[in-house]
Amino acid sequence: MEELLKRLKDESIEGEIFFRKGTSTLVIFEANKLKSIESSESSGVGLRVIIDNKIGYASQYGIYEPDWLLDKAKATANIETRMKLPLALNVREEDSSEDLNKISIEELTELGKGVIEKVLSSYPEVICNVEIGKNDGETLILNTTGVNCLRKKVSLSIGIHVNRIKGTDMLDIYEETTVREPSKLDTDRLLSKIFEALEAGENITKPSSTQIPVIFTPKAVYVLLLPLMSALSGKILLMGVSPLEDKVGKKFFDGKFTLIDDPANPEGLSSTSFDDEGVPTKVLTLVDSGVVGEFYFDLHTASLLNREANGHGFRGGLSQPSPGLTNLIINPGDASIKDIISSFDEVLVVDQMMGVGQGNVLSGEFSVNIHLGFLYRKGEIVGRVKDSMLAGNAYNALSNIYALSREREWIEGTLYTPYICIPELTVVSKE
Amino acid sequence: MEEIKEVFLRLAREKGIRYGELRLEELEVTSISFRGKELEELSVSKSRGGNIRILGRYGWGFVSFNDISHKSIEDYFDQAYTASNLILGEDLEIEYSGPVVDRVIVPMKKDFRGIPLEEKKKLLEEYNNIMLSFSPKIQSTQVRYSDRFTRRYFVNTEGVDVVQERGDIAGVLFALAKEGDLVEQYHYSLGGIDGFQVIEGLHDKALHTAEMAVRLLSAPVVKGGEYTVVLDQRLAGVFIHEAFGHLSEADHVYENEKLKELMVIGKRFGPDFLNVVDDPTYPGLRGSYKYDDEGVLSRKTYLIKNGILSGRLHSRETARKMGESVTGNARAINYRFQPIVRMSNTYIEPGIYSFEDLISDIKYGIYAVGAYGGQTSMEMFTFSAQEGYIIENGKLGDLVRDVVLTGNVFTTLQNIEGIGNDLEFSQGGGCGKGGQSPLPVSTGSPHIRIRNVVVGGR
Repeated sequence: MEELLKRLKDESIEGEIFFRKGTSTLVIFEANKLKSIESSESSGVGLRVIIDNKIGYASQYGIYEPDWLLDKAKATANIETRMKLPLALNVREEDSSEDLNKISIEELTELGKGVIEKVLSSYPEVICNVEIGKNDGETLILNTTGVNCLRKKVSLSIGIHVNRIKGTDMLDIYEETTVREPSKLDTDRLLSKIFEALEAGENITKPSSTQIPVIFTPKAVYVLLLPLMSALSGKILLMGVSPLEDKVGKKFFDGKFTLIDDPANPEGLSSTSFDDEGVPTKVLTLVDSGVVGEFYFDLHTASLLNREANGHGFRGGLSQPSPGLTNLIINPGDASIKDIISSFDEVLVVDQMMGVGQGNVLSGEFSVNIHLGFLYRKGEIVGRVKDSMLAGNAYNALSNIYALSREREWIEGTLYTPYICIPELTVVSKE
Repeated sequence: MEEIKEVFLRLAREKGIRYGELRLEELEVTSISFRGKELEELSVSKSRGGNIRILGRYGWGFVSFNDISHKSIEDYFDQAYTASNLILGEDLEIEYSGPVVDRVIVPMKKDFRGIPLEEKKKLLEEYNNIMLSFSPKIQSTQVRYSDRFTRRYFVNTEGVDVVQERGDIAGVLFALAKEGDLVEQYHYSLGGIDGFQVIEGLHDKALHTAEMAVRLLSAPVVKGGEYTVVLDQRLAGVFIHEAFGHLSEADHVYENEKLKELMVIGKRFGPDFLNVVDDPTYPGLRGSYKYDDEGVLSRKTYLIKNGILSGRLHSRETARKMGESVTGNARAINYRFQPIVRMSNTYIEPGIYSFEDLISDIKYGIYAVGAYGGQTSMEMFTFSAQEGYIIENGKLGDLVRDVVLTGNVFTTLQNIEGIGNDLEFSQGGGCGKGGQSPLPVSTGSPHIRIRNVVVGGR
């Protein structure tokens, strides 16, 4: 990499080298049995150049040909920009991989077997699929202005899927967790949720009205957040289609709603002190007690908007940087989830949905199939709701929140959220 | 690559493994996109990678890698071999398909590799400008394009040695219209495997995309409820992919005794006039291929014939376990993944009705057009339209938006009331399963009519 950097400097070309490599191990249990063991090694390089205020980009996985990269990056330099490469920054950020490396494949398979045995000992009629993975990834950013940043990250994850069929009724429950420290992997928490759903899923029921209060579990909160996540992206702002553009500084959402993007959170999987362009990351208050706060940018997008980059340029694989989020944190409320549920004569608790993100996300409209949802009457669970659609508008919903729970959970290691209760949404069920 | 193959086969012989595969892949991609009037992306990438999969007595060991060299292959082989031996449990058998040596090149009428970047960019810019200048209400646009040329090498221990090459184009034209706080969008997916010409001459599609985005601004949100619906070809294709295609993938069924009982061959799922096919041999579609990623020759499979479940899609493993024939449907999006059972080109065969016949006796219903996508949990599924029209007394009426439909596999297919005579395929679709997305697939259907479909809405 150093050699390619030297060539850029020799030719007086502004440029940036992005290097990524990773290893992972995955044990896969299918239908209650260990089915396969996978491992993977990957490495690749991306080269971005800025020539006469135009960006060019080329990348390679599995091959490293400096000549090809340089030629192609020059040849593609067509994208007009006002971006400047960031100031010199020299950081080495390393998760300790010691604990993770100590875990053998045998231990991963034992963990999976243990989970399946626990499920089957209580519910012998179900089918259980489990995937356990450990990941070790490295990112290096070098540029001609003196950025030299290295990030090493490790994680351990487990996903459990349980399927039960009775007659033609299928019940599917999915739980996952991803942690940075192996000792924090809590499978019992996942299992207790699965057992609860298996217990309550026996009886099928329907809400008594199409307009009812709805509680989104932490797993389900994304359906409400996707429009905001999109609307606050610098890319959407650049297109002039962000519904939140003229709401900045105004109280648009419910006063109970505060949403922060926190790259400094010690538990979050996406924590980092610099983004994928070597810009120091900033904690962003996206929504502060209902008031719309900040947008998030990469360098190029920020430059086109005459804004300051805020360390949110991230890449998927070796793709070019674009505005991205790190760890989303939603502030909790005061009441326990149990008390919130008990405060209604009838309330729907939605946990899994199908069709999230299909449609005009930016408008906030959602219309999703209730894949796993439970109806409670006066605090008691009465059964599962299926063959039904839940519809509403995410902006309206978050502008009128009944309550947020005091309990919070991490979802996919990147969203830390309470349960969110909306006083009224529309549920349409099959006659 | 030849040398690497030989190393693999030698190691396989030395270890005396039952069955093993080596897949190597070379890929070149060009990506171009516009966002609003700005050129957003112009980049090229090149990659090389591979994997080894070895069948132990009880399960699979799999290793994927980027480093393809004589030395590294020996290490990766050992890793896969060791992993395959760590699995204990029930004996795992697979179906064998016999040796074959072949080289398959999907011909491109207009090979995109020979077209200068500048020319590709110019064409996309034309579409972008058509959309941008359509109306002051068009606030922004996106045009995304990528072409990828892939060469896949496959060898296995039963003597399959196949090289397959193909070029694949995928992209989208996307228009956003704005009025006050309201932002509406419309898109047109493009793609194909037989050359650059598939994305030429789409100027009218660009115009239609912009026009629809603007028209949706004044369309009300559909009112939720149960309706008789007529689906256009694009949405009906997504419908059959979600509603039944995924349930036909044997890996969902083969280890699940209860699901096997529900999915027994010969069981009725729809009316007599319903025929559903998955066919990777259908020429020229994005889901077409000659050999799957287990080196099995592909073939046409009837999933539903005259309303009766008549077949399902298999890998070597699921076919053996269920005592059925291989179908050549084990696919992987790239070398980083194990092949799993996937669809190819899935479609409903044409019936006898014209579109007018289908809507003429509907008192009140919805004509749902275009597709955003869909999702399934096997029993229940959703699929969403880009636009909807109220059908009143057999006539098409007002435009409505945010039409998302849901169904249940055990009732919705039975509720199909009529199938049109106007089969069309959609290109540009990508399917996701088991973390592998987007896999190129095509879906097809004539117009179809279904009663009692739940449509979400406020």
